[in-house]
Amino acid sequence: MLASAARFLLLLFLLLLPTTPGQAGYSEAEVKAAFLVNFGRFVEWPAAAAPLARQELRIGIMGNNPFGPALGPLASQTVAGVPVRFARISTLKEAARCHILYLSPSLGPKVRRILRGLEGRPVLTVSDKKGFLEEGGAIELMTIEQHIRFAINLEECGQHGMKVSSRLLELARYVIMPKEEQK
Amino acid sequence: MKGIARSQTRCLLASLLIFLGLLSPSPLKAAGGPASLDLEQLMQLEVTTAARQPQGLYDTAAAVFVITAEDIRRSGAETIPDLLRMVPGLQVASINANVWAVTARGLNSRYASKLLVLQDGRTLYNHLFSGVYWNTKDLLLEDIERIEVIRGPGAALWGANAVNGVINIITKNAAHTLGTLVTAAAGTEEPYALQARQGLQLGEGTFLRLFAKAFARDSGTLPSGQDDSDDWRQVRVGFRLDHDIDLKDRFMLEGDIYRGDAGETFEIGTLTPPYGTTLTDDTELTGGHLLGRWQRVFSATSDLTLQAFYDRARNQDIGAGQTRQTFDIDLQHRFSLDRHQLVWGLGFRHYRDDTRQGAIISFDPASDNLNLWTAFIHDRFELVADRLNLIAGTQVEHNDFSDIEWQPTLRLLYTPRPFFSFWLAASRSVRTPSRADTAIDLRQAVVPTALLPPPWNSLGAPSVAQFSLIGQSDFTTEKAWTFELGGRCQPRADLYLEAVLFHSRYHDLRNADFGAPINEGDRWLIPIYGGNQLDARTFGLELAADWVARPWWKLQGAYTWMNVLAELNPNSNYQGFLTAAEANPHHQASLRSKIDFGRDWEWDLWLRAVSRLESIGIDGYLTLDSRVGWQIDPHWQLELVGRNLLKPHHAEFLSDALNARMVEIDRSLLARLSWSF
Repeated sequence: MLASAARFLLLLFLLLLPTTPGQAGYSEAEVKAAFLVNFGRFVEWPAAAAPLARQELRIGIMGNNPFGPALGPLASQTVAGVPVRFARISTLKEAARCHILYLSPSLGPKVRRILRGLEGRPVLTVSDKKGFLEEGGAIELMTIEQHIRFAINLEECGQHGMKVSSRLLELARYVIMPKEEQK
Repeated sequence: MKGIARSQTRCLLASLLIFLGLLSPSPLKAAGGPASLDLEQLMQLEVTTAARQPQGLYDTAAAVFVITAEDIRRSGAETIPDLLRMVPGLQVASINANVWAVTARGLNSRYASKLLVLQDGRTLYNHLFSGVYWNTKDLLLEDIERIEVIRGPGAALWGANAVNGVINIITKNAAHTLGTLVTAAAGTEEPYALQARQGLQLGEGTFLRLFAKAFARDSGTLPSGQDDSDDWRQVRVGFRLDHDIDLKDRFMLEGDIYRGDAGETFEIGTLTPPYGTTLTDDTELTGGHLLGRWQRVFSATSDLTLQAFYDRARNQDIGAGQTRQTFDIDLQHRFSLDRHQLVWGLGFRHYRDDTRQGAIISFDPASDNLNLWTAFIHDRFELVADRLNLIAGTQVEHNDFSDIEWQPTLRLLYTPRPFFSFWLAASRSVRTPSRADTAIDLRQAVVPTALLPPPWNSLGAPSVAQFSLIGQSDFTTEKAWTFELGGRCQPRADLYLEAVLFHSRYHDLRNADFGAPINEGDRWLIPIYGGNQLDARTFGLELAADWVARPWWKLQGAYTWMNVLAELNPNSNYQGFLTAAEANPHHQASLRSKIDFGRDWEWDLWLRAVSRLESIGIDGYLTLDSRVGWQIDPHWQLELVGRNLLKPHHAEFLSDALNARMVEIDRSLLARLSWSF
């Protein structure tokens, strides 16, 4: 039995040996976290609430934090001259103070209520929850064939007083346009 | 300076994780990782769905394993103990088709007393006999969100009996189980298993789940070939209500009731030749619980939780009868202060039991009331931002056996870079006595005195003697000091590795000693008095690895090596508990493979190896489970599950203390159809 267990262990290790290098990519968590920070470079907030006025780009994470330590290296970055700050958020009051708010799919049906609570606030909401834009979110992240893609609800962004750079719109997989421009 | 520190870290890293040496340095990573890339570059990156969801794992200074809903679905397992077999460091062994011995890190037993099992924060621990009556603990496995398993002491947070581990079964919020689910299964060892669940939205933020489950399971095989001893049937209905009053306040209420019977074959001593008889009997199992929890969230780092539950369970069999009631109320407050994250809590628990004398067991007194008061505080202090955390905490409890007990822990967590963490821990924990330790009279074999060794063979009339295990009111708590060293990392997105080394020192473990024979008129009673004369040391290594070999193929492995060195006080004259303490496999391994064929087909394999239990003469075994799942359309799913495929039947454990027959577990095939809409 001992011998067979040892053989099994050996097999386990052999299986775990890395195969050809280069095959491994980045984890979804790392890349999505980097997207969050990058969105900050392409969005313009109302002057009073802008990162420059508050001397920080505040990124809130609500619900289960899927990023874990992937946020570490991003926390030392600066966007438009101000430092990036990550914060765990659990109340609407805290959420309203963020520039970018990530809503975890774990929030489930609460997402809709949070979005309603943030109406009129200049908060860029981001989630990888399916159907997030239809619920009134601003940016939905999706994983398509091992690449991260995103879609933007420009109407929502406009209603919350945020301007989105055309470069971001070009990169988006699709954009929900404001009603008057759809004509 | 920084360079030196880093190279020292590298040395530490290399010596900590033996198998890290097998890895090539992480390939192709841009300096700084994705953090330094712009949006266009990010969009070109190929991502791998991480081998392990990082949430919380790298922030934990303990040996944690999480069984996810996907692990549960793809395991093919039908019971909670069978699910736990995938966790490194856990020993799970069937005694018969409805009784399991489950523990972490050794000292396993039918009444494994050092593992605390919770369901949504409600203890499933049996205070009368210690251990968990797994054949009364069940739910729809589809309703489990995850099972968190902490090996090693969790006493500082969770309280007494969390000496070797804590298992917390967390069920899904009712908001996440809307709609209808109906499943029906039948197989060679399972005449039927039916379950239904209905999820409803009652209003804004109010969700209700109702469920019912009924099943029958066939007996395993006795060494004599008999196979009708341990069949098991059960019906259970329950609900869970979740109400979000607003974003700040949450309320949850859940409950269930069950009724079942579980067969078992006992050896019962008789005063006339042949002095013993075999009796197969059904234990009637009934019970239920109600749990309410209210939580107020102040901020992401601060909340207050109040929870109360009532649990009632009744077991009636030929050996004895027991009705246990537990009332529990707990308060927990979490907040942060500067660089400290603090949690403190208070708890009160009241137990009441009423026992009925049976053919084997009686209690003196027959019923009792016990109170347990607990308080704990736990502080996580950030020594170096994002790098180094110190965790210190203690639980203090007052129980009716040993008055005040302190259970402190001290832990250090080091996270040098994303998805790498290392931790160290030293903890003291205790196992409070159960009523069986202090008040039981458990009748064992009857033997003619002439056949006994001296001095018993010279006892006069009556000419027969019966052994009995007798609890002593001065039985004290069992104590343990545990030292742990662990590391976990994700060197590549598709690979997760974890290693834990542990060493525990136990004092005052349960043993028993022969006492002076007592003349009961028709027999001599040879008492075996319980005591605390056993010490033990355990050493072990636990490894876990997850690898996403291809986007459609996942492999998950676990390996445990463990050694138990038990030492009985030389003045003790009964070896039974020493033998039981040593009944642990040295090696255990599990390898799971999950393959997706297209969108609709899944094929899962699960290979397990457990080495021989030398002290009780149970052979090692290698076994294989396989599952094929077919999503016929969005509403219908068909699964075929084969378990223990390599042999017609195999033995895993002996029922200690109680004279119940060992039953071998049969190979089984099962088909299951699920309908959801």
